[in-house]
Amino acid sequence: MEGKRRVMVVDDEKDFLVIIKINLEKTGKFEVETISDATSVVSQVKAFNPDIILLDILMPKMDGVEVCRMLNQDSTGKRVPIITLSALDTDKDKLMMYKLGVVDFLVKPIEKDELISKIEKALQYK
Amino acid sequence: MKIANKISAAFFIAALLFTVIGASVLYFNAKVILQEVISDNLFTAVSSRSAHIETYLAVLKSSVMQLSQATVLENILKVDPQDEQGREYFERAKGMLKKAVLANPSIAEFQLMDREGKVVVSCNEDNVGKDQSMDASFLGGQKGAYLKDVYYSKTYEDFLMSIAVPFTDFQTGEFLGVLQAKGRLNILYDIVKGRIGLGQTGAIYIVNKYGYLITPYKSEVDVILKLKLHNKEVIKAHLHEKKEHLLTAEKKIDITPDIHGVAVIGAHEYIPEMGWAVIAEIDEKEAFRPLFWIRMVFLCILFIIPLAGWLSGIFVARLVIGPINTLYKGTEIIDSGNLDYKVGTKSLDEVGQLSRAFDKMTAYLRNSTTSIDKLNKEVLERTKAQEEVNILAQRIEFILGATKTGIDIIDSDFNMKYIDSAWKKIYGDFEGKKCYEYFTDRDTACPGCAIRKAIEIKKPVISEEILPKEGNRPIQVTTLPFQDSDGRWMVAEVNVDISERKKAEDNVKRMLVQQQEMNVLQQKLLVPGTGSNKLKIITDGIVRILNVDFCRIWLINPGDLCAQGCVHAEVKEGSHVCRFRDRCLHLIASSGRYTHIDGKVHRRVPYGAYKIGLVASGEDRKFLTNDVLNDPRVHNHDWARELGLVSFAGYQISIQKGERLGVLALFSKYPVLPEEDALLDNISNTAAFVIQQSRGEEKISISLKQEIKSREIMASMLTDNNQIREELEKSLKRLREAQGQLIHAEKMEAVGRMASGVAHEVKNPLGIILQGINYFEGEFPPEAQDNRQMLQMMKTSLKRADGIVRALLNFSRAEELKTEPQGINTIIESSINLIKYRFSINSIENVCQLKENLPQVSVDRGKIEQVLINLLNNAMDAMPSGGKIYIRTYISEVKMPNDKVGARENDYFHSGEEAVFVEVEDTGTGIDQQNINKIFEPFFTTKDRTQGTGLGLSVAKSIVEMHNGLFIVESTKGKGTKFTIVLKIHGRRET
Repeated sequence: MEGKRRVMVVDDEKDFLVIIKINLEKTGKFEVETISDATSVVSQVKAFNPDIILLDILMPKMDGVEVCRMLNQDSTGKRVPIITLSALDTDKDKLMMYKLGVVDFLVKPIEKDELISKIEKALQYK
Repeated sequence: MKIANKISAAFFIAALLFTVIGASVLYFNAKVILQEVISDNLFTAVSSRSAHIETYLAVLKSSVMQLSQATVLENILKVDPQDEQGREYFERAKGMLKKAVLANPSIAEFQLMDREGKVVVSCNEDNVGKDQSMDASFLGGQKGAYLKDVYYSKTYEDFLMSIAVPFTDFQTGEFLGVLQAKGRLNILYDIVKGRIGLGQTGAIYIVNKYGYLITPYKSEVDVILKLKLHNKEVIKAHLHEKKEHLLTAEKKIDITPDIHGVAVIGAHEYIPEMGWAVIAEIDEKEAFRPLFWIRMVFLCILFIIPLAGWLSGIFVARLVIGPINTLYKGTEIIDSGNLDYKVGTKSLDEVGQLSRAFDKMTAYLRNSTTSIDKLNKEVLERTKAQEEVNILAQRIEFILGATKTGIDIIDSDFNMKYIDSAWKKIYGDFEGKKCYEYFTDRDTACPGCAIRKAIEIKKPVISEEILPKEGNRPIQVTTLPFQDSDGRWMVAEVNVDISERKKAEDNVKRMLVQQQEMNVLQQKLLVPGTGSNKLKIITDGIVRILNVDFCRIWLINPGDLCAQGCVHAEVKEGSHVCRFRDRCLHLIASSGRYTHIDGKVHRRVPYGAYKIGLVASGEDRKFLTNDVLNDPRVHNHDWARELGLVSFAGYQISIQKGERLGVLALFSKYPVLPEEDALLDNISNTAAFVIQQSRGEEKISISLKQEIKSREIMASMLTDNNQIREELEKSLKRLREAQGQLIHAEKMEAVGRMASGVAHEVKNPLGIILQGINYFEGEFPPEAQDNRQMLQMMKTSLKRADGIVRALLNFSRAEELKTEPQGINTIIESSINLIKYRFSINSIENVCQLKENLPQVSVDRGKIEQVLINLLNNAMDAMPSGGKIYIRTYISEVKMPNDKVGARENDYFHSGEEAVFVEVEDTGTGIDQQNINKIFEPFFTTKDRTQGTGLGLSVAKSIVEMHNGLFIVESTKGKGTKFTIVLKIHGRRET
């Protein structure tokens, strides 16, 4: 898998995880790991060692904000750039996530090409 | 199994069967014949021996009898053997007997006994004078010829047999004595010794009537009168003794073991005179040895003949199959594509004819216009294309199924041509059906049929339909006309299930209606009145708006009826004991089923007891259940069941600092939905506000009264009482305004929470669908224009849906204003600038009549721009063929009749107040009077669904009203429409 960037996608919508994985891996540039249970993100980050994380905010067991905080506390996740991909885009939500260190805030629905462009830009940031 | 193998197998099996059956028959016959031969040999052997023996005995007897006629012997019996004549006769008799012995070597001795049994003369002089009167020979010989069985003679030390005959006077026949001959057995031995016809193991022997051997037995010699035999032949022989009719019994051979245990075959012959049995035996193995060799031969034949049969089968198969194989190989070569190959053989049989027929057929194929390669290539291409189509169809079906979207194809005659599998499962087979029959059971096309219209205008048509067969499910149908390869017009319908959207819209409408009702309620609460009246307004409102069964409000006050017969004070034990006397829940307001507040039980509820008391005292501000019949926390299930109640909700009324004021509670026959729960939560806060306000007003009233009193006291001391009163009234007014804003903010927060929830639930599926569309965009080649167009339309619809959700969110967030003083003309110019390209492309003339130096207004620039852009876009949409848009700003007095204009406390403007006016007027189609009141309703639109969400004007109005402005519309059908926004001048004090 040389040359492919590792992308971890965290979202409670399993259909979204399936389609995102297909679209991103189809480009040949990414290896995608999907997680529907946000409580397992920290351990999965250690196992998968992603280059970037796409993170939903509104999730049932643990929301994106809490995930960000946990990753910030954990030394492994702290260096991984995070892009939030949420259905809501209030200024309050954006400000909070930027304060937690996310590199970009995207709103669903989003075009595949735009998403890939944002990921590649964020990976440069890494 | 190959034919050759079948043929060779058939030959093999036939040969094997033939061999087995034939060999078995032959073997059986051989065995029977052999048995007969053996039987004949054995019986011949014993018959001949027994005949010989009988002859010998007869000869022997005859010899003795002949000798008994001798005169010499007669004379010796008549005279005294002591006198001279007797001695002479003795010598002569003795000489005669000796000669007789010499003449007959088998005789060992002759002796003559007188009538007393005394031996008178004998060849053995030692016997002369012996008394033989008790000897069996003498006793038997007296009566006639007597043969004595074999016995052992000590004199001769040999086995002898004796023949005795009576000696009588020749003339008188008087019995004179007995003549006895003692014979040796050598003749018998010689008779049985020959084994001609009995092989190596054959033997003949004689047993006497007691079963003792009287001849040697096979190789054993010293067995005479010692070895007794009990074999079957001996037994059968002695049966003859008992049953004379069996003397000529069947000549059946038996197989029995001999004394050594060896199986032998035997036969016997009985000599009744002596009681002897002559037995011939032969070992069974030797007797049936020929059968063994026959078996060996048959086994060889059993191997050879089937093998020969199999080989013959192979040979025959080759003869038959060879030409067929040639034909088969030829067809394989032809099948591989070589049509030039000739299969035909020269044979004249049916196979040869078939092969020549093949050659003719391949020549015909070869001469056809399309080459096999080209056909194969075409077939491969079509197969590949079909596979790709199938895969694509499966993917589309997957995405369609995931997104609840269906596709069908119908021709211009309304015939169903295709429907995706999910819908096919619901509606069944579509072959031969018209679409109106298939979907709706109609006989004719639907009125305003979108298929006709789409084909007529050759453009997509979007419509909404209701599916009666699926419980009236609403769907949005996008009808796309296209031509097939023959130029015939058809349509493809993309059917999107909009039931969720409709449901969401209905929910939003319902919530908005409820919100409007709440607004009315809020308005009523702003009218001056007592606290208890206002609480009653709240409970009435909840019953009416949320259709609950009954609603009540209790307030926490000190216990006042404890000593006056309150039933709760009487409870001494259990969970409902009234533990607090300094606080107690007083029923203040009740609406719905129960309106009285002075009942015996519920007018007071102990603090901390029952559901109400627990809500009042608990840290949890709320108690909600939608299953009162099963919830253990509900006290009386039977009463609830009787009234058909389903839900109970209790909310603690408390202020922000945590002071608990009371409880609002209700029972309903319907579940309390989450948005209603939020509304009730909000109402409980309103109730808290009302209570606080009421208490505040009371305090203010008291303090006012005190103030008035003090002013009255001070009237004499101070001269500016009016100023103080005015300041007080202004304070009260600001307080009420703040209360109104707070209530409104809480109301909008509830709407905002609901809108956020709906937005999240809708935008997530939209995200999935968009990714799916992106996926297919990558799958279709650039030349697949129809597919790409379809995807683009899907994307457009998706973005429209997203736009609706965003507008809904914005609508709910309209209260988040960031106002600052600024000039309205600047905002108008920037709004025009943002959409000026539309003016030019739509041939619209923009006429700006902006008053200069207008006073500033305190507005949220972004929101006002949104309002203006919305009005300008609507104006341009109303003039598809071009026209004029007038934009004016000026100052004027607010005079027109309006429910927000007046002297009431909550009016935005006083009549006659100066304000900044903004007008946007077009020369377009105008609005029907029947719709003019609806244009501010959410989701109402007169435009095509692809062009408007129906939220623009409702959002615009909401934004303006949040600025405490007026939003007014005037329209004349066919002439145009004018929107007027009235904004407060910044810093202008009210008169």
